[in-house]
Amino acid sequence: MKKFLIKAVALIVVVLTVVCGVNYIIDPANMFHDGVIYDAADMLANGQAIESPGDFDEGKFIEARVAKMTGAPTTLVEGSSHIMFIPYEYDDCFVAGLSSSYLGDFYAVTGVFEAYDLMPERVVFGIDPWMFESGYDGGSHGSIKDYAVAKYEIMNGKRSDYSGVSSLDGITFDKVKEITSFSYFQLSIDAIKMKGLGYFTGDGRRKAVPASDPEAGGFACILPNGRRTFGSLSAGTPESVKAEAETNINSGYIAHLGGSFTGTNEDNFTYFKELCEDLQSKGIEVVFYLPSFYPDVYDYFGENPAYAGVSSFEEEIREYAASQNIEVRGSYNPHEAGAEGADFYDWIHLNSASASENFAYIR
Amino acid sequence: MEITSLSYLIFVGVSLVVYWALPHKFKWWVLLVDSLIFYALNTKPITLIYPAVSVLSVWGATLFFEGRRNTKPARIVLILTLVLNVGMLSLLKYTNLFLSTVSYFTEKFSGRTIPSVKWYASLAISFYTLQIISYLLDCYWGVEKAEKNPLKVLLFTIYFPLTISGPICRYNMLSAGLFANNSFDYDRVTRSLKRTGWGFAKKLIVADRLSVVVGYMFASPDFFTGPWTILAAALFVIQLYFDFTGCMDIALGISGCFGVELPENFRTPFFAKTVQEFWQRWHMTLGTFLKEYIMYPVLKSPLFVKMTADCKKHFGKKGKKIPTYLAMLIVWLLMGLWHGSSWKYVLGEGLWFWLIIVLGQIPSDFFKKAKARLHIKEDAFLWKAYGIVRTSFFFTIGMIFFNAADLKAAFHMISCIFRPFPVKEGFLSLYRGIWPEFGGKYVALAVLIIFILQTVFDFMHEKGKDPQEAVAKIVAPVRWVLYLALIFLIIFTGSFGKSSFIYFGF
Repeated sequence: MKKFLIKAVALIVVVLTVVCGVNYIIDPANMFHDGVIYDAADMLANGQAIESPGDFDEGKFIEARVAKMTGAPTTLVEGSSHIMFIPYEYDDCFVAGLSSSYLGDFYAVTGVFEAYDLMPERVVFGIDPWMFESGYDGGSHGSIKDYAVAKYEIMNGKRSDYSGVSSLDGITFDKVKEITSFSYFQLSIDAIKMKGLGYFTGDGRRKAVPASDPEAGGFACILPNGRRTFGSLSAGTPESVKAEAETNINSGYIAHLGGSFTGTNEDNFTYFKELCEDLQSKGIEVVFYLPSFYPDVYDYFGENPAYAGVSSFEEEIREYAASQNIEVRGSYNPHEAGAEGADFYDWIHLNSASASENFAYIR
Repeated sequence: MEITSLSYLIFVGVSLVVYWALPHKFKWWVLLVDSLIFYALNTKPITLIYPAVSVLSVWGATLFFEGRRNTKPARIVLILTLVLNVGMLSLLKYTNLFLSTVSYFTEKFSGRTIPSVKWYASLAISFYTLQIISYLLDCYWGVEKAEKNPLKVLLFTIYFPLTISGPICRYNMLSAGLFANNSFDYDRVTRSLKRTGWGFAKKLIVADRLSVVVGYMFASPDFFTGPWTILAAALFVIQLYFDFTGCMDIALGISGCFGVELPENFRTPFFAKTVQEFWQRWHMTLGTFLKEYIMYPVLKSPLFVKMTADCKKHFGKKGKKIPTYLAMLIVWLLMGLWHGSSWKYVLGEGLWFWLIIVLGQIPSDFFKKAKARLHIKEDAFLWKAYGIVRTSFFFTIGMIFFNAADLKAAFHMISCIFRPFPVKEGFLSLYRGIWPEFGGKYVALAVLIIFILQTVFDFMHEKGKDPQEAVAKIVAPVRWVLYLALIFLIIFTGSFGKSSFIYFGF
């Protein structure tokens, strides 16, 4: 048994040393090198636009930004990448978009603002059809997940405040898990493949860099009010965007809808309604924004029963909004919203100018 | 707790240390506590009530049988216990199948639908119910002695390596290992660990990576038509084989580390030359259960004995096979139902294979004569290859039902086989649609390596050779490099945290 234990421990040590070492040093999502998040938050708080520092913990970044705020914004916008790029007409607006956002992220972001006592007068929810497919605590941004749980528990009288909830300090269980994670190891290896061995000397890691031309530069940027801008270097032409949409339509698999969408998860939609009504009960105005799909993709939804739920979900949202006196802007239907193929940055996102029009004028 | 997660490995590792550190009389307690923890972590702890009820009823019944074999009270207790356990399985697993079927008709005739019901699912109920029924019947038939300690029966029922996806064990197969005086055997433990490692490679590299491609192709049957449909189904068969056998390697390997040997569930099924032979090599323990506890008792029942005699009288010697076909129909229907509460399983996993087997047996005399006329030898390479390809094809068609969303989708997919197909667009769609999610060229290479190695191992098994022994003959430094290479191949290219085993939760 002694011989076995020695060999087993030696093998585990070798494997874990390689995995943990590479994960810590490469750290493609800056989990253990989170200085970039604080540097970015500092620069943005000082009114400086920055180039987007690649992969980073967006949930933690939101909290770092909120922690630097001196007063509550008038309007808070929450949602996925569909709402990040819109130049809103509101005067004092903070865009707290999170990539691939889910219902849990609505709870989490609202929780962060509430915890810092910075609740705005108006909350705009950018609603994508897939958002209610996971639970209220299943947001895609794990670092601020505890805020989602706390917000839900406060609403249901199971706790009174957010004490003890923070994504900013200390060694969390998520960090320990991530340093031993094999999937994170694979991301680290991919990062080495893409950017070479610069990580080992520190040169490969993205830093918070001021943006010289945030609206028209080559790289994606983050503005002081949280809005993102697209980088012109990765923009598609109308033809390439159409070809991309057609490829996905031909495959019959619209990935961001999980391959099908026949209707929403009613339990989760109820969680969302509870959140809206909680905000309204505190005198906060709630606005919904429904981002348009690429025209060919939306037309395809009409042909394929697997996606029949998109239009009926919009009806459901509108019915609920009407019952609660909530303003709805935009529409999943691009023909209704006046969006054409040329208005899209890629086959999923409207470009900033068109999204702004789509948000502002279509009611 | 994902079986392929680091937390599961830590759980097993800690359990192993505690298990081997404790004296013999406490060892089975460690396994019981582990099994309870594993059960509670994988489903709602309240659902432990289901196996608890099963265990208490069967334990009580088996003690009651002692000294009362073949008596009327024993028969009544047996029937009541069977009704309770099969009833509980049916209620939890098949209520919604029943309700949806009734709802289909009520909607047609009255426009009203019946809502489905939600039960707290029980972990591995399809597996443990069969196990505990086998124990009940063995005790009733006097094959097995009743266990006095109900906790030992509970461990037999929820022994944690089995609750992943089986195999389905008889009491005497398990009790020998669970309660014997196991001592640490270096060779057995390392051998078991190697098997577990290989199971992880099959599951994480091949099965889970292929699931991306299979899911993509099955979601678009109208696009992936013609040979693409066959390819999608064939890839699902490979995925299922690597998933299920990978799971068995992990279950048997982990159990072996505790000194508890489990029965094999697969014996190179893709070397089978007939569908009947295939099912004697695929999910063998389920087949054995259905044969020994359903088919034989049915055939020996007074009704079937009389039917056999009547058929022989009216239709001659060949007529006596009719009751056998009927008993086989019962077995295959149950086989289909066992796989899930959907008519797609009843048809695709049950009736389809019954039909193929019966249609192969009825004209067997004609086939024999035809083969003799055409001078075809049974052991000729081409004839064997033809049998293997034909059997694999029939199995593949059955698996379309398994993986399709429902019966309608399965028939639609089969109809797509006969439609024109897009060659270039198909490749383009796969490349643009899922190549990055699949993992790219390095993952493809890893999938190919594991696939080829498994095929070689299957050939070796078929020839009666043990791949592990062959590997053991390699000089130690090279062997260790190979082990490390496999571990890092899994870490580099495995698909982590994405899915459970296909049979997990049955």
